[in-house]
Amino acid sequence: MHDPGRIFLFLLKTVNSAENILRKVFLLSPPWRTPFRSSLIVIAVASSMMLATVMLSLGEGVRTSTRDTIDRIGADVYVVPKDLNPLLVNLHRFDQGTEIINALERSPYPPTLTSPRLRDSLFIDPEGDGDIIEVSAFGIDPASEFGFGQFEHLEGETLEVSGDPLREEFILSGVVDPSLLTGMVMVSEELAGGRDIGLGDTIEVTTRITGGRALSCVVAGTFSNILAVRSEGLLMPLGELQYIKDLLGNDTMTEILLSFDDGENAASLIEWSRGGDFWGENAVDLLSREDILGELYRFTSIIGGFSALVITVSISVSLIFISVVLMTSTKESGEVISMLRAIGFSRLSIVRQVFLESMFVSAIGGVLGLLLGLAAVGYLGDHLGSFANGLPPGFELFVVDGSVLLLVLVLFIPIAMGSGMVPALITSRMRPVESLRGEMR
Amino acid sequence: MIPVKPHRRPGRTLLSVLSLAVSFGMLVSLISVSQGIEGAAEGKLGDQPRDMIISSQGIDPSIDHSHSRSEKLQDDGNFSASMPVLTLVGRLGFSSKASLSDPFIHPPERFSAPGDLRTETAGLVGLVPGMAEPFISEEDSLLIRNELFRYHDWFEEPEDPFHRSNYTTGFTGSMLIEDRMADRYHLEKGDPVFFIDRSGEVSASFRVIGTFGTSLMGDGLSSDLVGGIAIVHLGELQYLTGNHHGDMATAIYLDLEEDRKDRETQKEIAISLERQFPGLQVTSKEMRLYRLEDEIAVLSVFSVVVGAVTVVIGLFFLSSIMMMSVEERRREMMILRAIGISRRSIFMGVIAEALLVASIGSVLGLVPGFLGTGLLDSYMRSFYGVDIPFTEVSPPTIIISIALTLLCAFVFSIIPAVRAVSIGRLRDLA
Repeated sequence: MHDPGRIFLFLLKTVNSAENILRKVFLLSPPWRTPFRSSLIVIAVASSMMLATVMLSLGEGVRTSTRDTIDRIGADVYVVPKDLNPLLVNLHRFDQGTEIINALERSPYPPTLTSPRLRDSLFIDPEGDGDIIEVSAFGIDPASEFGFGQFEHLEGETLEVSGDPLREEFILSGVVDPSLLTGMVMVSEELAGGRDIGLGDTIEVTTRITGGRALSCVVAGTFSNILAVRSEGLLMPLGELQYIKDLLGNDTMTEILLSFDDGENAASLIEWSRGGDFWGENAVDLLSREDILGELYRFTSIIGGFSALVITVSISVSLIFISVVLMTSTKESGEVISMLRAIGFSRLSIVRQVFLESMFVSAIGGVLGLLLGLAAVGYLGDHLGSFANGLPPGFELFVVDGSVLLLVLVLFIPIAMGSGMVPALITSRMRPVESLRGEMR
Repeated sequence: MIPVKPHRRPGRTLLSVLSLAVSFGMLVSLISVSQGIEGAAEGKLGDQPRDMIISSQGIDPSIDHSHSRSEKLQDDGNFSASMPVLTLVGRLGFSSKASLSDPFIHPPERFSAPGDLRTETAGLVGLVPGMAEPFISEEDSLLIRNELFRYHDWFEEPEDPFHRSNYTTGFTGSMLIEDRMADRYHLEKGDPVFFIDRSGEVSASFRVIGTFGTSLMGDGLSSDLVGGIAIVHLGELQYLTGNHHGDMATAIYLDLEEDRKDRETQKEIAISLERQFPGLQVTSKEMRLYRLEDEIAVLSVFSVVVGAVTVVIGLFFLSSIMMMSVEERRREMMILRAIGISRRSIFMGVIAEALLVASIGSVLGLVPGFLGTGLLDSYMRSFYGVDIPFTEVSPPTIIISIALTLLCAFVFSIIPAVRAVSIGRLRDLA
C-alpha cells in the first residue's frame, strides 16, 4: 500500500515543478496574466484546426471509401463498351459478349476468373394488386459472379445451384430452348424487406408495363449490393435476362469483370487488347481498377477544392485575429522587455523567448483543435450517414488517418509560425528607452 | 455619445476590418453559389412549355407504344401538345474522307467503316419534329431532360415516316448535331455522321442538317461522360438501338391546355395519368420545382451555414478585439464618467465603433466576395465543363447580408459595451 501522505507530497512537488517550469518558459507574458487574450488565441487556433481536421477527413473519407468499395468488388480488369466512361456503364452495351470472353481467354494473358453481366430493368407486381414497380435486374453468370464481391449472398441459395442452362445450351449449339429456363432469381434485401417478398415466393417479371415478355420466377435467395446504386433489384441467370429482353441472339452485355492471380497479367492483357490482335477491340475497352478509381476520384475532387477554400479562409481569419491579439499583448510587455534589455539580455534572446511563448500557446490551441476535430468527425460520421442515401453500405464519409493528421500538422505550421513571428517582429523593432518612457507617462 | 476613434489603433482596426472582409467575402461567395444553381435550374424549368412528364422510373426506356399513346393523350382534351422522347447514350463515328452521295440507308444495313473513322460517345435524342415544335420556346430553345437545346436549324420532315412505315421505308437520315461537336469534327451541313452499333460496327449513316447549342463546353467532367449530343427522328433511333420492338420511349412530355393549368386540375390529371401509366412516374412542373428545391436544399443550406459560421467567427473576433480595446481604455472610461458623460453615451460609443468597423469590413468584403464568386463560377464551369451560371449575385442578397452582418455586429458588441459601462462606474475611481 502506498502512503497517501507521500502521494500527496509527490503530487504537490509535481505541481510545483510544473509551475516552476511554466514560469521559466513564460518569462515575458505568461498566459495566466492575461487569461482572456490567451483563451482567445487558443480558441482561434483550435477553431481553425478543428475545421481543417473535419474538412480534410471528409476528403480522405470519400477517397478511401471509394477505393475500399472498388477493392471489395475484387476485379482487376473491367471490360466496358467502347469509348464509354466507366461510370456510365449501365447506359450502354456491347454485343457478342461470349466471343469477347473467348478472345480474352485465348490471349497470352488469360484471366483466372471471368464474370459477364447485363444490367437492365424489369417490372414486377409484388403485391399482385396492379401496383407495378420497376426494379433493376442484373443478369449474371451464376458460376463465377460470387467469386467477385459486389453481390453478397445473404439468405437462401445462390443461383449457382440452378446455373444458367439456357445460355450454356445457346453457346454450345446456338439453339434457344425456353424449356431450359430455371426461373430462379435472388432479390435484394431492400426488395425483400420493403415489399414483403420471402424465399420460395413466386414473382412474375415482365419486360414492359403492358405486354412484353413475362417470366414466372421463384425467389431462391436474397443478396445485398455493395454499390447499392438502386436498392430494389434482382439477380437472375444472364441467359434468362438476355432471353426475356430479346438480347440472347446478339449475346448483349454491359460489362465483364476479370480477375487474375498474377496482377501483372492484368496490365499485360490491357496492353495486348490495344495492340490490334484483340477480336473485340471495336466494341469494348479494357480498363484497369486504377482507371476506374481515377475516374471516381475526378468526380469527387470538387470536395477537395471546396475543403481547400474553407480551410484557407478559416486559417486566414484566424491568423489575422491572432496577430491582432498578440500585437496588443507584446506592446503591453514593453516594460518587461525594456527591463530585460537594460540588465543585459540580447535582442535575439528576447525575440526567441517571445516566439517560443507564442508558439506554446498556439500549440495548446492546436492540440485542442485536433481533439475537437476528431470529436466532430466522430459525430458527423455517425449522424450524416442517414442523410447520404444511395451510398454503399460501409462507405465512410469521414476518415482520419495518418495522412490527415500529417496535413493538419502541416496546416498548423503557418498558424503557429504566424502567431510566433508577429510578436517577435514587433519585439525586434521595439526600442527599450521609448517603451520605458511610455510606461512612465 | 463618446467620439468614435477607430484610428487610435490603426493596425488593430485595419486587421479587424480585414478579418471581417475575408469572412464576409466568403459569405457572399457561398450564397452566390447557392443562388446561382437554384436560379439556373428554376429558370430552365419556369420558361418552358412543358407542364407534365410521364417517364420511366429508371434509365431504360419503359414507355411502350409511345407514338400512339402521345397522340391519344393530345386528343383527350387536357393537353395542347404531347411528344414522345427517347434519350440514351450511343456511339457516333466521324470521318473526313467519307463522302456519301446518298448517306441514307433504306433500311439501315451494315457497311464497312471509312479508314479514318473516329468514334465518340454521344447523348442521342430521338423525337418527332412536328410534335416537338409546340415545346420550343420563343427563344428557339427546347428543354429535354434538364438540358436546354438552342436551335439554329430544324428538321425538314416534321413527321416520323420510318416509324409510320413500321420501320421499313422513309429513313430520313437527318441529324441535328451539337455545335461544339460539329466544330470539333469540322462538320458542315450535308456531312455524314455514322452510327456505331453495339458490336462496334457502322450500322447506319446520317446527314448533318444543322446544329444546336447546349451548355456543354466540350471539356471538364461532362465531356468525359458524353462527347456531344445529336438529335434524330424518334423511329430511326428506336430502330438502331433495338427499341422499335414495342415503340419504346423514355418519356412523354405534355403541355396542358390553358384552362387546365390550375393546381387542382393538374393534380386530378396527374392522378388520372398515374392510373393510365402504372409503373411510370408522372411529374408536374410544380412537383419538379419542389423536387429541385429538395435536391439543392442540402447544398444551399450547407453553403449558407459555412458562410454564416465564417462571418460569426469574424464577428466574434471583432467582439474580442473590442473587449480588449475597452480594457485598455479603462482609465479613459472612468474619466469620461467622472466628467459627466452618461453610461448610455459610453455604451453607444462602443457599439458605434464596432458597427463602423463591421460596416467597413462588409463593404470591403464585397471585393473578395465578387472575386471569390467569379473564381468559384469559373472553377465550377471548367470542372463540370458546363456553361451555365453557377453563381448569382443579386443586390437584395448583398443588402440583406450586410444588414444581417451589422445586426450580428450589434449583438456581438453588446458585451464589450456593457463591460465599458461597468468599468466606468464612478465608485471605481475611488
